[in-house]
Amino acid sequence: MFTKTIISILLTLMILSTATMAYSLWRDELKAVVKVSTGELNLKFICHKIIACQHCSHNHPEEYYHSGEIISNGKKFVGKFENVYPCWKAIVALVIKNVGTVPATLNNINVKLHGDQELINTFHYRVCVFGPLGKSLSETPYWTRPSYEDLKELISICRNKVVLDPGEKAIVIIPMGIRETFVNSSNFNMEVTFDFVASW
Amino acid sequence: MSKKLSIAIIPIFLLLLATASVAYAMWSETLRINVTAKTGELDWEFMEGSTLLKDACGLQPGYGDYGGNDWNATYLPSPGATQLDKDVGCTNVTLIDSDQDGDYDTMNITLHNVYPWYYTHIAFKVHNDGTIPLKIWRIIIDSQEFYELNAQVLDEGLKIDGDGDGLNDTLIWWGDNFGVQLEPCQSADISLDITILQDAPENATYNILISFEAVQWNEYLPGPPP
Repeated sequence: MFTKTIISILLTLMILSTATMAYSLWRDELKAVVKVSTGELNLKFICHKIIACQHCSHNHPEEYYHSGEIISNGKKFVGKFENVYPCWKAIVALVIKNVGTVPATLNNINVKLHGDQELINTFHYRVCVFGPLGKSLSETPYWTRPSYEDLKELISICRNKVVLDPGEKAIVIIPMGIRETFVNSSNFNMEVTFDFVASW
Repeated sequence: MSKKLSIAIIPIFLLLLATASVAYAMWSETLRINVTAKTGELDWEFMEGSTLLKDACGLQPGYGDYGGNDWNATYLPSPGATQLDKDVGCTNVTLIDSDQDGDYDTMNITLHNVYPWYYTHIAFKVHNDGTIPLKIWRIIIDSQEFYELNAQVLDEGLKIDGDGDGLNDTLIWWGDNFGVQLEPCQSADISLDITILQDAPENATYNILISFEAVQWNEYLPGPPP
């Protein structure tokens, strides 16, 4: 028993000694600290306009009313239109801004209508996107004075996809109307959303 | 009887004392060897002015190595990248003397405003500024040790979960000169490729630590310590 203890102690000392030798070599260390700061991909609706009653060929009901609101943290526009009537025309104009820090491609505008099916069947609209625009929207009359007179010209500069660098804006113009075949006045809601992807 | 014995012992004692005194009275001289050990220093550094990188912060937008347009890891998992048409992110490298011993021991690499497939390449020189030869032993990335160039299963680099969300967000490839011996004053190239992966979180900041270790040349053994 005593012999075993002695052997154990000796073995431990030998192992310790070997380990000490292995770690006793000189070494020096250089460090590289990599700090990664990622960007943000984000587009938002930042403002809207509704211009209605353009070229009305019929007397519109006095209780006609519209309103619009940007919701879902800038990802959705909701328009409410009450008592629209035959030949009613309007333009919804929206500004989308790249509020992120990396470029983004705006590649689709989605329009959904909710309301009287007969009205929706006679509803017509078109989506026109153009840009990119810099900081000042006053550079373009399509935002300051959107009108049906400018539509032909506007449609000629519409684009399917717009690449927006951080801080840049695009204008979405949605001219729309009710055909004469609709004979009543009714309400509908409109939802506008958009799809975007990273642009690199 | 006892008195007689005492008288007899005293002369014997005196005689012995006298003999000893003769022994200590000998002339003598000593030769001395003074051993002075002056140890060397194992020291290496990031070499100032040797860093080359793609998409350095501050470059004007444009193409080529001196243009600020970003690079995209188009060919992953194969190496190589193509330059994009925009300057969105950038890479910055600074050298730091963290222990104030007069050489640069830390390299801060910062990737600003980056996104999936952003690619950068950083090449630099390491320099033996000590007094004994050293060998570049290993690289430790995110606590994982490697003793050689990327090879075989690590062909495209090491995928790292830098932000700790369980998804790999960064790919690091490293190169060159493991096991190479640097004599005092000699230098060698090392390079890193960094690619941001698809699972990198948006709007986040995270750090990855990379260590390069060198050992004294005569104790170098390829691979982990025995």
